[in-house]
Amino acid sequence: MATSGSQSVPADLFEFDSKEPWAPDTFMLVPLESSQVLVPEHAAILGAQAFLKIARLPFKVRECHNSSDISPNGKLPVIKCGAYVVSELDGIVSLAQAKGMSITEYLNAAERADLRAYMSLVHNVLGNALLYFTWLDEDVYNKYTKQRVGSPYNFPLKYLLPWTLRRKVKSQLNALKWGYRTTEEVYREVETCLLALSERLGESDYFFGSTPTELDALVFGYLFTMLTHPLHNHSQFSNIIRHHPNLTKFCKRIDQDFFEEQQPESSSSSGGRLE
Amino acid sequence: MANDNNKGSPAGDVGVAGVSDDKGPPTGPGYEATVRTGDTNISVDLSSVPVTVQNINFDGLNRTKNEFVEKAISDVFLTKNFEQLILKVGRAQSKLQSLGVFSEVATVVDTSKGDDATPDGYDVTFAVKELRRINGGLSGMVGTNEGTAQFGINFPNVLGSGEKVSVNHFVSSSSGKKTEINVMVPFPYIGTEFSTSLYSCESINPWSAVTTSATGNLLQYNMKIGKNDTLSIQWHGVWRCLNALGSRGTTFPVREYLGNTIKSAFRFIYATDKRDQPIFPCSGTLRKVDVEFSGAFGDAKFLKVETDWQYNWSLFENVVLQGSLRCGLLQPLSSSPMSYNINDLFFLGGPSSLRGFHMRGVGPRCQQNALGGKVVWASAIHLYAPLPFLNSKFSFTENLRLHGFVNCGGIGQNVAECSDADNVRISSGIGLAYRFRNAARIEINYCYPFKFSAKDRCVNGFQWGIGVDFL
Repeated sequence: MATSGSQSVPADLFEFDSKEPWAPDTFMLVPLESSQVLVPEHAAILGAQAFLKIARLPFKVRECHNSSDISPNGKLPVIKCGAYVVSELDGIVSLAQAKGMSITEYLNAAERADLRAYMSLVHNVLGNALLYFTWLDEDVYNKYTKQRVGSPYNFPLKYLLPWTLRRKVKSQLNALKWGYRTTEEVYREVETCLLALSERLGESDYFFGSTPTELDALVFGYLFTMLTHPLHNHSQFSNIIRHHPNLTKFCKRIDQDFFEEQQPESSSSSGGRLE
Repeated sequence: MANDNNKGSPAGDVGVAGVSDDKGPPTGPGYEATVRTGDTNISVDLSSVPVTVQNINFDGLNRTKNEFVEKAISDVFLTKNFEQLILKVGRAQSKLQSLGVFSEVATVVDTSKGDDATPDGYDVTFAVKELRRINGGLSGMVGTNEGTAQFGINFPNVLGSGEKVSVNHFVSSSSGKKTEINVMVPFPYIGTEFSTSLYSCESINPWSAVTTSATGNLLQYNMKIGKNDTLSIQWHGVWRCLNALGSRGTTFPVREYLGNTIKSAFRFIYATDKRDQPIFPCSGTLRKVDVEFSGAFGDAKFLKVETDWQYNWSLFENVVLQGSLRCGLLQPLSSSPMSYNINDLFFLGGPSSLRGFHMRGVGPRCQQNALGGKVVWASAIHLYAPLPFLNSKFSFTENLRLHGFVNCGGIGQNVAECSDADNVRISSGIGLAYRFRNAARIEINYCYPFKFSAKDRCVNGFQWGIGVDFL
């Protein structure tokens, strides 16, 4: 299920065989991009892709209708590398670390703690805000989410599945107290989060100096998605981001450095253009 | 035995062999009554005793409808002589018992009394005891290498025509649990019954490391055709959600099947069973064809055909040669990845199909996960013999057989792969098989697989199996 509500597995619980190198035929499983993928899923996928491109780890993208069911914890994206099936950015980062591919080796202990704190802030605020608008906003749910979730299935699952998934997301968000918030409260949360990010970023290229980390990948995934995939009449998201010119510049930089120049043929995987 | 001699006619409980009578010499074969009076034997041909059944009474009929029992006994009115009376009353009694609404059926045949009684008039009384409105129970069942406990509440004969509603909960030793509400409507006089079962079950498939939660409805129409043939027409609509078992053991090829699908399938099962008994038959054949078409609506779209043959030859005195063959084919009817899932595929191996291999231990696999195949075949040749040096007076030894067997089989993704000589698995062995209450079979065998492929999980040695359906 796309919404098992469970926390992601801590990195040290994975027992990866570090002797095997990163499999060259690694692929990332994503929902059908044209018809099925939802905005929160797109943000998570884009963040993971940014990380893999920053770490220069090769991967291919494969679309399938049940990618979230294939995922070990129900979350996206899913990566199959050799015999391992790993999900979410956290899982992918620890898999890469086990294979000796870390992009945060130069950080000291305090910076690492900072990195973790910011990552969980982004996960909690931006991730839940996108879930909130995708599933709990009646307009968005009826005009967008319902159609996309049901699209790969035939009658009657086409109508049953969005309904059951919505109930699950609702109870998950209610447990985190997000379900009871109003739209304005959610916007305020997002504004606070973006302000904190903008202040942390300052005028530097990336969050921790001149080289990108997984935090940069994660933030890029969310911000770029919010800028390029406006949820039905919730364009305020992109306006809030545009209040922070350093954040839009940051998105443009990662998009250009890692999605356009490095691999022009797969630039479409970032899924949009910044004007 | 009751004698009513004032009309010179026999009367008494049906099924009594000897009936005394004092008129008429023996005239021919058929039912005869013999009675010894002093030193002379008097034989009476019962078919020459004229009988008119005047009244049939039911005793103890409360909520059962008259129309429902009338058909069982209407034949009794056509009785012309005493021989027929005994036969027809006996038949009616067993028919009434088979309706499943009475716990007891007793019959009393007596001469008619009263003003309109004719000299050869008889009254038949069926004393029945209806089942209680609610009964419940706890029972155990045997499946393929697993046991199941069943907790159930039954409401027999709800509307008075044998309709039965039951609510059951099953807990299995290894493969999950199931809750069902079952409604059964019998049409006993045309040999059919209709049932619908609404169920929700959680099942575990450890061989492929998946769990399935299924919610669905099974409509069934079963009919008996002639003496040996049965036909079952089913519609099965089910929402299946496959999940990984545990967090790590499920490999990627199995994971690709995970998720939700709805299957709407029509299934036809036609069986001709001419065997003398289902377990350890001495003679006769079994032929069974099972066709499942999925795709009326929903996501699963495939055609699945399975056939079973079994032949038995009695060689001499309880030594039986048995040959059987089972084939299966699944043809997806759409290129969608949802057209079938791992639960629809065939698996091979285990004591009930291909002995000498672990359960589902033959065929395509990824690490520990069995992946299944679209085409399967398996055959067996058995030689059954009773245990030597033991007389079969005890029921234990009567139910025990010594058998030697040769099993062959193959599994693959297409017919060509399956029929490839390199893909044939052969095993042989000897063992003991025990028949448990004519419903289940337990066997322990010493197996020797001598043709297998590298990935197969073989059992070279003792293997035991318990189940109903053995090849």
